[in-house]
Amino acid sequence: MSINKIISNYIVYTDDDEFKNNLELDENKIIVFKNIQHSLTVDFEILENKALTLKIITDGINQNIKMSLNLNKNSSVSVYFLDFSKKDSNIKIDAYLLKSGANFNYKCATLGSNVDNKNIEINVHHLANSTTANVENYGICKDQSHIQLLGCSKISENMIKCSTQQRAKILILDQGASGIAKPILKIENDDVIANHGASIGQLNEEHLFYLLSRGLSIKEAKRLIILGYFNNIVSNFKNDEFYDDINNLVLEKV
Amino acid sequence: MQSLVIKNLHVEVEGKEILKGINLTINQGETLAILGPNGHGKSTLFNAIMGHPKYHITRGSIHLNGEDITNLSTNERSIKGLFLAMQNPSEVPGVVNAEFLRSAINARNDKPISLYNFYKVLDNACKILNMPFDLANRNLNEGFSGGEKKRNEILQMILLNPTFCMLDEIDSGLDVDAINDVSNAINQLQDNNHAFLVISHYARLFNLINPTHACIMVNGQIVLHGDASLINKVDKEGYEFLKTEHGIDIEKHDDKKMNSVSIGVCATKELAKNVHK
Ligand SMILES: Nc1ncnc2c1ncn2[C@@H]1O[C@H](COP(=O)(O)OP(=O)(O)OP(=O)(O)O)[C@@H](O)[C@H]1O
Ligand SMILES: [Mg+2]
Repeated sequence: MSINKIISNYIVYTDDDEFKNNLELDENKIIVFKNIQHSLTVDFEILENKALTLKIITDGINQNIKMSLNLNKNSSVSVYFLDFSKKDSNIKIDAYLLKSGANFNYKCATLGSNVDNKNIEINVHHLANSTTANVENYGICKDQSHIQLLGCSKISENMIKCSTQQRAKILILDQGASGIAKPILKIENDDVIANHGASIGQLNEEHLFYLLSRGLSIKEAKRLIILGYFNNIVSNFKNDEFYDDINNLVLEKV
Repeated sequence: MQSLVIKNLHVEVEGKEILKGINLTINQGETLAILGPNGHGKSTLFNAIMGHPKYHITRGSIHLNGEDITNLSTNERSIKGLFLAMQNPSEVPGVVNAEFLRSAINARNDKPISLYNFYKVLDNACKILNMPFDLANRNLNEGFSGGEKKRNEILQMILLNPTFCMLDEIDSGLDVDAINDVSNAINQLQDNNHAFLVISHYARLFNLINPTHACIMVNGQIVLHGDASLINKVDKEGYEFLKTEHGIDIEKHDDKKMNSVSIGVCATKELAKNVHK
């Protein structure tokens, strides 16, 4: 299945498109970045009181994407991001929580295989009181791939009643694979709720044994476990008209 | 007739020898009750038979129908007909129970099972166990209650129809109705094509599944083989008779686990009384 099929009704960026780089968003969008060969910078402005869901799928080679999200008062953005890009990928998202009540919620799963080298950086800038954010990045490293999950959530001195989370987790599947998970918090006052966590680990031996003890091959067991990471994101596509296609895409990639 | 034959099995866990020469044969049509105080190697035996990577076989062998499976991979053992219902089934986050069950069925069939047939057999198995169907759509054992996990183990046993079923404390954490459901499921498979190895601390389960044989494991060895009457003896007397009648010393473990031995056995005694009332 080609990703083109899924995306006919979505915003699709490909190399041939004329980019509309500054978009005011007031409805839910699925964004697919397909095979961008050069750097791409996009800016989205989310209007007051709007609650949007952005679903992003990347499927190209050497993706270099910078995205800025500017959130106005009481606006909310949920990003669900499936990354299947290949080779050298640099993806950077900056969420600017400009006015109080702005909320940013982000979940991503990325798959590295062969010699992919991926760099995903998600920054949250709490620029108003009572802004909230949750960032979760999951990386799965196969073969000799390398994944770096970075991000900084910053709450400045005079911004109070903010809440922010940064989490990054990397699963290393093969000996030659490696990863870095470094979410950081810069908190300059006390009146906040903030936490972060990072982990890099290999397949849980007990989980694997359980699956193998029921006859699954190592390959199939790994596939189910990897799929689990992606299901965490794909489950948010459930009510989409293209859910089955996206699900199949994931099944095919994993 | 198929058989599982274990000869002089020695097993190490993290450099410590836990099993010290186990000899055991079980044939199709038999149900073996395995008893023994906490921490004496019962689960270790099952894990080693199933090929758990932490349990290193340093000496001895495991043969299935004459074939040496001592070094076979875990999934191949499963496909050849071994099954282990675990004492503490893992929670595997993200893996959907139904997907997993379908993969497990497909692993032993040439052709993948159709979705329609899969849901039919799954629905049927859930009914046997009075298990809510939606557990199949949840992540594998994640957030399952203790009893739900145990039912899910038996669900897999029903779906995979293994020849040699090892059940490790399948009754722990089950309510009265669940014990009946689970023992019914076991009873349905107790025929000349299946064999059961069953670890439990409680006579209640054994009374429901009528073992043909029983044995007691102590200090990493099987110290006593016998028939089902052994179960009632242990149930009434605990393990002291091993010392007084057979001169077998039970190694004490310095961890807290040992305390629960006596508590466990007392509970059994009380429970047995209630059952027989
Ligand atoms: N994975 C493991 N890692 C470390 N030690 C282990 C492991 N598995 C078993 N052991 C140790 O081996 C010994 C035997 O444990 P095992 O689980 O086989 O006992 P058991 O007879 O099944 O006890 P119980 O009745 O309490 O379930 C114990 O001392 C235990 O701590
Ligand atoms: Mg045990």
